[in-house]
Amino acid sequence: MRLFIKNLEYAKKIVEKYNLIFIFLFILSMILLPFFTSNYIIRMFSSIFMYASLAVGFNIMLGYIGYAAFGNVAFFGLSAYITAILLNNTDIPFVIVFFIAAIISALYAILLGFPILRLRGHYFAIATLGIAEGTREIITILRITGGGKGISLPMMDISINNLYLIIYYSFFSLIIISLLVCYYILKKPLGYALRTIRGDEEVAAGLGINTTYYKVASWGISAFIVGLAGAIYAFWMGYIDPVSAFDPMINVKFTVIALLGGLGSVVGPLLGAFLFEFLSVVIWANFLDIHLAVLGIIIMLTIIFVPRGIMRFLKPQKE
Amino acid sequence: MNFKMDKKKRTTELLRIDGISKFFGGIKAVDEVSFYVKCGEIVGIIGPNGAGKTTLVNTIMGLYKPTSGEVWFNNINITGMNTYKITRLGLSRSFQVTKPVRGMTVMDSVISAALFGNNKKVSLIDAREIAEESLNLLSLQTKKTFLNTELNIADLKRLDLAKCLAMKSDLVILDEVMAGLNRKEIESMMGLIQSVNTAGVTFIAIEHIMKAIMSISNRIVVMHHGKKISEGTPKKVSEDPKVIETYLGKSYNRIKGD
Amino acid sequence: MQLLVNAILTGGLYSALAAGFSILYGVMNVMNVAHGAFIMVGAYISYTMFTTFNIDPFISLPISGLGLFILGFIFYRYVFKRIMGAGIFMGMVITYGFSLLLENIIMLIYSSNYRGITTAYSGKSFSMFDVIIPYTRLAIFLSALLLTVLIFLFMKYSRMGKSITAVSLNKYAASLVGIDINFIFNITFAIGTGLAGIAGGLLASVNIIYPQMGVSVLFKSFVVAVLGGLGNMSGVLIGGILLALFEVLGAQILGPNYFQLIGFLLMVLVLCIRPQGVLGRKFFASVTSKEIGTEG
Repeated sequence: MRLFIKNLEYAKKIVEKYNLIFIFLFILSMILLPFFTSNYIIRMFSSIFMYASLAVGFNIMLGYIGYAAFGNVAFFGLSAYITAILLNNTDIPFVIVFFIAAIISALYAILLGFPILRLRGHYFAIATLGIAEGTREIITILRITGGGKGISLPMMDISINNLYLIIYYSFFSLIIISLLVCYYILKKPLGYALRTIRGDEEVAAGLGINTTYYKVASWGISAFIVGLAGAIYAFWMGYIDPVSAFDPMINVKFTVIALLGGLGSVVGPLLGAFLFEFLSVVIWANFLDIHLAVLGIIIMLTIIFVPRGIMRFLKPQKE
Repeated sequence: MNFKMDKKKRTTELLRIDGISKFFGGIKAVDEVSFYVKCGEIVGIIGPNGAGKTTLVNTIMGLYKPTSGEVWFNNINITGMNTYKITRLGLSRSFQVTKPVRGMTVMDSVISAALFGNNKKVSLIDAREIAEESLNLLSLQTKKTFLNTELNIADLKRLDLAKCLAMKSDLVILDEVMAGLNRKEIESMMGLIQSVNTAGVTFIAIEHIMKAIMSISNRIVVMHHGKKISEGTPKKVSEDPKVIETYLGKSYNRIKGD
Repeated sequence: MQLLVNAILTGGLYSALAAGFSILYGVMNVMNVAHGAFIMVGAYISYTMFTTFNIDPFISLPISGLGLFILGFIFYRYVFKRIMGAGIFMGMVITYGFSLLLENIIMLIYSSNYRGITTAYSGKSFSMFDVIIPYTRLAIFLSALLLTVLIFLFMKYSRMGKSITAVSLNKYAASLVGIDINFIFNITFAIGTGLAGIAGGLLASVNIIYPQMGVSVLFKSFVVAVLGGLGNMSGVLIGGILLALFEVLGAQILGPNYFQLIGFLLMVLVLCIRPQGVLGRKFFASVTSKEIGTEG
């Protein structure tokens, strides 16, 4: 056992020293991946990157500011629907549609943020859940969204393989950019402001930090990232309906991933996503009937034993 | 550290409290309190527990909106303004009940203060320098990598003051900054306040430690049941029969005989 | 008039649903996301008592309550206690995990099919003053009322109740007086889940039962608890009736589609305007980041 730990420490040191090289290698391998593997793997990784992005969005709120935005899936679904509507009714190229949908999601978050972010932690959390529910309800009611039956997106004139490639690289770019944004945030003064707010909001105000502005801005960024993910998702699925777009399981997944990976870290969500996907595949393959239970148990165990996520495990030095 | 204010501001009233009241339902926590603080002074606020001192500070700092009255700082009406805006104008406070910012180190907290507590934009590098200086002033540099939650009360109080200094505030309100300190610590804190004051920072100090507050203050304001019952130099206040009657009598005489 | 009566009767049910949630938050500052799941289990217990032993759901209420009490006690003792005090978020996530577990277990035992309880008096009602009152609903309302009264009496006059109140007001002072805080927390948690169990039994008498029913119930409970003031037991009753009232009114005015939405809107409104709820928080803590309780 001791030998294992020693090797681990040694490995950690090496990784730290050659940080950039590892990152570079990783990115390179991810870029090249699709050329060497099957569609199944590509889809799996696309899913990983998507959930990682969602987890990043969640992490920005809970990990950096300390506000548990449990209902972030609201922006995911909203964005998915906007994407569907725009693609069906206009000629705007899909990439631009993605951004429009994401921006609208962000605006939605900012609008809601002003009243909702005044609430303390847990109230805020459930309020966001309410928003997720409410948004779903509104979408179900509106005629334009096809109500409960959902909408199909127009079929693109490309092969399945190419579609998968587009999705893969889209999600990959999303996660890389999101992580870069996070890294940048943490290093800059913005990061200090967010962390102070997380630590004690009253003190933060006393230090001259405009808490409202930072909270709302963070949620906007979070919603933007989540929105992009939702847009790409809609494009991928080709069909969305209120149940799948606002699926609470998506919510659960990215929450657990964010937790697993370690709140407040940068790469945590990505690591968490990989770990979770790995576990999922194992569980799904073997325990289909009780996958919920196993998920639940994993969540409980994670909270009890690894509340800070694996990042803390791997990076012992304090920030 | 350079705290000096512009010469032309020297004799004006830096802070003016005008008929401030704060009622919570039927409770008159602060009742028509008025006084002023001149640039460069150290004004002490004393009074028994529940006299409304901290509520007054909270109202000044915008945590509460006053039921009536006005607060003027540097000729700007800051009544009921957002706390962070008030802070940026140059008015900061320490907390009576220490509030360690969770999840951050001492150094980071002070850097935050330096970054945001000022109206001018401060770069990260400068902020770090300012933070170092502040921590040194308060002898906290050895603990700068500690988590806030790992400090004891005395250090937390000093950290509060360090943050206020890092913000380059013109006026710092200290809320019971000496509570929980031993004799030596009190003396060093007194010396620190005085030296920073000489360097140009105005102070309001809410205190219970009579000896300390009486010796460093230029003026004292006495509060009781939310009202101001006396004001003046320490000597004058300690001889005011009203004050002696409600509060001061026993303890001060005891200290006098120290 | 009929609407009003409907609202009141439903309100009683809602308040019963919210009771367990409210007490857990008020006393222990715990957001029990598994509350819905607990209610669901209570419903299933009621169902089983009815189908296997032919016990009327109202008679089996104490059984559901006791069952969930034990479940909650064990859960707290061996799982929840470990993260007690680590922050709200932890509590929320761990209870969430537990709710998944519960859901899955029930799914395995009972399958996901919808089930219901039909008693001899299920569809029947009587009229009074031109108003139709279904027997079942009336019974629910009366049970909820009885429950509220019992809780009130318990908290006020029993030794345990007073200890719980003491702990919720000031943990440290309570421990100084010799109260075993941990035990009180354990009991309170169990009471919360027990209440959920009873509520589940009540729910089972009128609603369809299925493993995922916990989710919407949870949300409703939260809305009710917030409306009445979290931690405030009498507030729960008022909150329940208020919600029911608004739902009924809203459905009348806006149309049946908006049923669910109303609850959500109402809650958001309340949280923004008067977070303490109608009767105010019983126990001293802040809701928004702007309110604080300080002395001096």
